[in-house]
Amino acid sequence: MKNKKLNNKKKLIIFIGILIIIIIVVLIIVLNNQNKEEKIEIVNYKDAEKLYQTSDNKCTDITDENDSLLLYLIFSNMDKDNKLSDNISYEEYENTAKTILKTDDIPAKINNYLYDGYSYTLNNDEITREKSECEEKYVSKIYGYSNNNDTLSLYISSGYVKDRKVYNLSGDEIGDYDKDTINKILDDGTIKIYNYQNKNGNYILDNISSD
Amino acid sequence: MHREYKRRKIIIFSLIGILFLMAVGYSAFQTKLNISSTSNITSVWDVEITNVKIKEINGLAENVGDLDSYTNLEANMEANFYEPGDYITYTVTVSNKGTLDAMLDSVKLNMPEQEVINFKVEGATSKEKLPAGSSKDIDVTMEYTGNNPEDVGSVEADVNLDYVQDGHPTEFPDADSPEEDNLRINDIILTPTETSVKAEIEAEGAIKYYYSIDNNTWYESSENIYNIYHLKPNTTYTMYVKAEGDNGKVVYSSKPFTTLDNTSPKVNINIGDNVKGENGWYKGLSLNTEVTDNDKVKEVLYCVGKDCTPNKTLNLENNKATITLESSKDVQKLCIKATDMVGNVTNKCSNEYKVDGELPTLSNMNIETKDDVMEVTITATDNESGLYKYYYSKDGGKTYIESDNPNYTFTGLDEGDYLVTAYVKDKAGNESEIKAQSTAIRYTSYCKKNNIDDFGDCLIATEAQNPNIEEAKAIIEAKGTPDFTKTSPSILYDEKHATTTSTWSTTSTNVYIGTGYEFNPETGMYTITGGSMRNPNEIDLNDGNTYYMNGSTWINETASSVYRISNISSTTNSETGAVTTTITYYNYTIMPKSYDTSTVGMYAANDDGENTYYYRGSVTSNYVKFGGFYWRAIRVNGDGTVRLIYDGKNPHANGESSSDRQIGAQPFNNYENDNTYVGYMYANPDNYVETNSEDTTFNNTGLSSTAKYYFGTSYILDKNSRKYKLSGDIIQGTIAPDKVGYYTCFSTNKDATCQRLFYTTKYNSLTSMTVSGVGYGTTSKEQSQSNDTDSTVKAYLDKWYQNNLNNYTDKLSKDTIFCNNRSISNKQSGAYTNEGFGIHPTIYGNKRFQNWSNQGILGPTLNCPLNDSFSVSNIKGNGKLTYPVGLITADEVNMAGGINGSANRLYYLYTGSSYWTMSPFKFVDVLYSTEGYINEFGQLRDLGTSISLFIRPVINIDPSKIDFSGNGTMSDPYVIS
Repeated sequence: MKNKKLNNKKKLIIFIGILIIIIIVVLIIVLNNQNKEEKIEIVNYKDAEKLYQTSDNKCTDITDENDSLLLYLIFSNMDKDNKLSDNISYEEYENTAKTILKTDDIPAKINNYLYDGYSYTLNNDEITREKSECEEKYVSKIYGYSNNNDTLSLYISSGYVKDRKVYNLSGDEIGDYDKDTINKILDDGTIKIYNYQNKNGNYILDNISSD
Repeated sequence: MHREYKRRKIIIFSLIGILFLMAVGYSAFQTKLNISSTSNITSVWDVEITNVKIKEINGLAENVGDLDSYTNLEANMEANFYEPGDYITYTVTVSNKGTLDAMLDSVKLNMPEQEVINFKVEGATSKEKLPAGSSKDIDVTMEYTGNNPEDVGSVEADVNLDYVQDGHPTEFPDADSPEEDNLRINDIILTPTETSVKAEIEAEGAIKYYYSIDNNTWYESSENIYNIYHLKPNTTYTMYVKAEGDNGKVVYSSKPFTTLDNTSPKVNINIGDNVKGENGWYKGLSLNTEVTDNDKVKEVLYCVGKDCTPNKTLNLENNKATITLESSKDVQKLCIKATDMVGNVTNKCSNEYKVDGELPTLSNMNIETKDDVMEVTITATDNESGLYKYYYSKDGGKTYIESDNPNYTFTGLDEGDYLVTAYVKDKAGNESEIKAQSTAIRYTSYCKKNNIDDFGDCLIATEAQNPNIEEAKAIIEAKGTPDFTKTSPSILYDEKHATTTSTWSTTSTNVYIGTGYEFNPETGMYTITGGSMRNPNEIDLNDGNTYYMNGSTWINETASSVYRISNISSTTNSETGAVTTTITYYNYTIMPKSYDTSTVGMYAANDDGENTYYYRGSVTSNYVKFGGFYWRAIRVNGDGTVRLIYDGKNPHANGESSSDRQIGAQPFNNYENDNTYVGYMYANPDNYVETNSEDTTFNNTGLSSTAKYYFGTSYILDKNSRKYKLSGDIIQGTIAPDKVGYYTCFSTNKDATCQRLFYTTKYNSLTSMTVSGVGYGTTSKEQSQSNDTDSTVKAYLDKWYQNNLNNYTDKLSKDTIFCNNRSISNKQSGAYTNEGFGIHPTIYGNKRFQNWSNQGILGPTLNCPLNDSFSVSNIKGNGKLTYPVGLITADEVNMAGGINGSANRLYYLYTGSSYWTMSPFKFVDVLYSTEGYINEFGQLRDLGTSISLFIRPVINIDPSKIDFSGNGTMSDPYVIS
C-alpha cells in the first residue's frame, strides 16, 4: 500500500512536471512568434548595380518620355551582349525585351530612340539605326537603392549636359560639367525609382516612379 | 460485485417510486384544503371643514356672511364690494379627523357674478394628500373687477371640497350649484398630447364654459370642448374649468393631468477641433456632442472604441460636451446613449475615425560603409497607425530620399565626410525626430596612394583631395573663416505643432497675446507678431483672428515655443474675488529639421605666425590610433606637428556618449579663491599673503532665504589648507539686517571651513547681501601668473602620461606648446576690474566666447603669451612641462564647432561628458576662478576650478618621427608607429 502511494506520488510529480514543460514550451513558441519579425536581407550593392547599366556614351536618351527608360534598359542589355548593329531583327529585340522586362508588354514603338550615339527606329520587323549627334548628352548614376525581401527600389539620378552645363530633367541647371565632379553634381539630378519584384531571386521590373 | 450493483439499482428505483407516490398524494390533498377565517376591520372616514376665517381684506370689501355656517365639506362666504380692486380672502381649514388618508379629488365653487367678480382658489391642488390627523388651509379670494359696485352689492360663494380615500381611483364627483340643481359639471374629460390638452366638460344646464391652466387666465367658449396649446411635455398641470348657466351662475371644478412625452432625446455629434493627418487619419480629433430633449435629459452615457457600449457618464454643459479621441491603432467611434425623464432612449454613434497623434520612434540608425557604398539601416516603431515611409539623407537633411523600407544604400559616393540623417513617418503623417550620424567614405589610403609620407601633409591633402600640398593648403585656406558663433554642423529647426491641447492658468490680468508669429529656422525661436499686453478674457476667439501667446505675463515676444489659443475661460474665487484665467492651447515647439554641414571639414587659421589647419564639425576622417589608444586629430599645428585629443581605448562615432572617451575626473585646481588658480601652473603658496577687498564690495546674490547661516566676528586662516574657519562671537540665522558686520562662509555648518570668506557690509534682501572678500594669495599679476606649482589637473595628466605614454615620448613634439592663455580682457563689467591677481574679479578668455554684458564675442585665437605657452623645451614655450601632454583649449573647441549658447552633439569633440579645457575664463566677483569646459551637451562653458570634471589628454605628434598607415576613418584609422 505504501509503495502504491509512493508510486502515485511519483506519477503526480511526473505529470505536473510534464505539464509545466508543455506550458513553458507553448509560452516560448507563442512569445517567439510574437517577437519574430521578418528580417530583411539587404541586397548586395553589386547585385543592385547590375540591374542598371550606365552608358559611357552620353548620347543616350534616358528621359521618361516614350518608353525611353524601358528602351534604355533593353538597349543597354543588347549592348552588353553585343547585339546592337545597323540592322536588328524585331525578334532579337523582342527576346531581349521580354527577358529584361519579364512581360509580353514591351515597348512596340521605337522612333528615333537615341542610344550610344545612334538613333534607332523600328520599321516593320526590323530596327535600323543612324549615327546621331546629340546636342543634349544624357548622364545618369545609381543614387542608391532600398529593398525588402519582396521588392527592390533602384534610385536613378539623371540629367543632361548641354554646352558644358549640367541640367536635371526638369531643365534646371545643377552644375558645370566636369568628368571629376559629375558624380557629385548628379546628386542634384532628377531621381526616378525603378521598382523591381523579387521572383525567386530574379528581380523583375514592375514599374518606374518618380521620387 | 455484480449482485451489489443490482441491489443498488433496486434501491434507486424504489426511491423514485416513493417520490412519485408522494407527489401524487400531495396533489390530491391540496385540492381538498380550504382555509376560512373572519376578521373585523375598524376604520373611520372623517374629512370635514373645521374653520373659515378672513385672511385679508383690500379696499372697502367687507364680509357680511356667517363664517361659522360651514357644514361638513361645504362652506359659504358672503361679502360686499364698493370699488374696483376691492377683494377679500377667506381661509378655509379642512381637517382629516378619521383614520384613513384622504386625497383632494376636486374643488367645486359656486360663483355668481362671473363678469365682475374674479374668484380664485389657492392652496387646493387636486390629488394633494391629506393624511389622517392633518389639516390643510385653502384660500378663497373674491375680487371686484367691474366698474360699478352697485351692479353687485353682496356676493355669495359656496365652496365644496371632494375628498376620496388615498390610493383609490379618482371618481370625478359632479360639481353642482347648490342653489341651481340644473347647473352642474359631471366630468372633465382630458386628452393630453406632448404639448397640448383637449378638455371636454360634461356639464348640465351650462351655456358657457371657461378653461384655465393656471387658475388665472381664463378662456371663454360656448363649446364644451377646448384645446390649450404650448404646454411642456411630461409635465403635470391642473385643468381648471367653469360652467356658467343662463342666469349667470357659475360652477367651478378642476382636474389634474400630465402631458405626454413620446419623443426620444436628440443627439448630434460633429467634428470639433481637429488636425487632419494623411491617409484618412487624424493627428488630433475632438467630437462635439449636443444632447437635447423636448423635456429634460435624465442621463447620457458614452463610450469610445471600435465596437463599444456606452457605460461612462457624459457630463453636459448647456447640453453640450466635447470628447477628445485618444491615439489608437484601431478605428474609433463615439457612441452616445441618451435617456429622457420618461425613459425614451436614443442611441447614436459617430462615424468611424482613425486618430494618431503620437510620433513614431526612430530608436537606432546603423551605418556601414564599404568602398563607395554606404548602407543605412534604421530601427523604428509606431504603435498606432504604423510606419509608412522612411526618409534618408546623406547631406545633413538638405535632400531626403523617400523609401518604403527601413534600409537605404547610397552608392557611387565620393570620398569625404557625410552627415547621414533619417526619420520615419507613420500613416497619419507624424514624423519622428531626426536621427543624425556622421561617417566617412575613403576608398583606400589617399596618402599611401599618393606617396605622402608626412602625417600633417597627409591630413591636409586628404581633406583637400589634392596630393599637391601647397595646392591643398590653398584650397583649405580659400574656404576662409567660418562663423564661430554657430555650431558646426549648425542646426536648422522646424516647427512642431502639438495635435492635442494643454492648459495654462494665470491670475494675472494681462498676458502678452498676438495675432501671428514668425519662426526663425536658424535659431529655433518664435516671435509673436501683432502682440500687446491684453486681458485674455476680453478676447473674442471667433473674431476671425488666430491668437498666440508664449506663456508670459510680461512683454516677451520671442521664445522657443508659442501657444495657439483654442479656448479661454475664467473662474472667480468667491472669497477673494481673484480671477484665474485658464487658456487652452496647442503648443508649437521646435525640432531639428536638417543640419548645415557646410562648415564641416578642415579650415586654416593663424597659429602664432604660422598657418594651422584644423578640423571642424562632424568630421569622420580624423581617427588616429597611437600608443594603444584612439585619438582624434584636432589640427595640424603651425609648426607642422599634429595635435591629437584622447578618445578612448575603443573608437567612438561622433555623437556617441561614452565614459571611455576620458581618462578620469579631477578638479582643474583643488583651490579656487585666487586669480592664480586659473593657471595650469600657479604661484608658490609660500609667498601668499592675507588680503581683503576692503571698500571693493559686491552683491552676493542667490543665497537661500530660509537657510540659517553662521556668522562670526573674526576668523582663523589655515595656511596649509588655505581655508578659513569662523571664530569670535558666532551667531546663526537667515539673511537679515542684523547679519551685517560679520565674517561668513554662508555655510549652515558651524564648524565648516571654506576657501571663500566674506565680510558682510549691507543687507539687500532675503537672498542677497553686499560683501567684501577676504583673501590669502597673490598680490600682483606677475606673481599670480608665475608657474611655480602644478595644478591638480597637470599633476594628474603627468602621472597618466608616465604610466601610459612614456615609451612613446620620442614620437611627440617637445617644442609644441599647450596654451593656458591668461591674457586679461580689456572688456570690463561691474566689479570686474581685471587686475588679475588676488581676489580681484578679472575676465580672461570669457569674452572670446560669450556675449557678456552685450560687449560682443571676440572669437577664438591661437596666439599665446610665452609665459602661458607650456612646453617641455623652451624653444617655443616656457619649458615648464616635464611631459609633452596638456589639454585642449577653449579656442580650439570653438574653432571645432562648440559654442557657448547651443548644444552640439554631432561634432567630433562631443563625448556626452563634461571635460576640462586649459583656458582660463574669469575670476568671479564672488571669489572663485573658472576654467573653460565642454559640457555633456557639447557646449563650451566655464566652471569653478575646484569642481571635478573629466580629462582628455592632448599630445602633439611629430610627423618627422613616425610612420603611419590607414585612411583616418573610424573603421580604418591612421595608425601611428
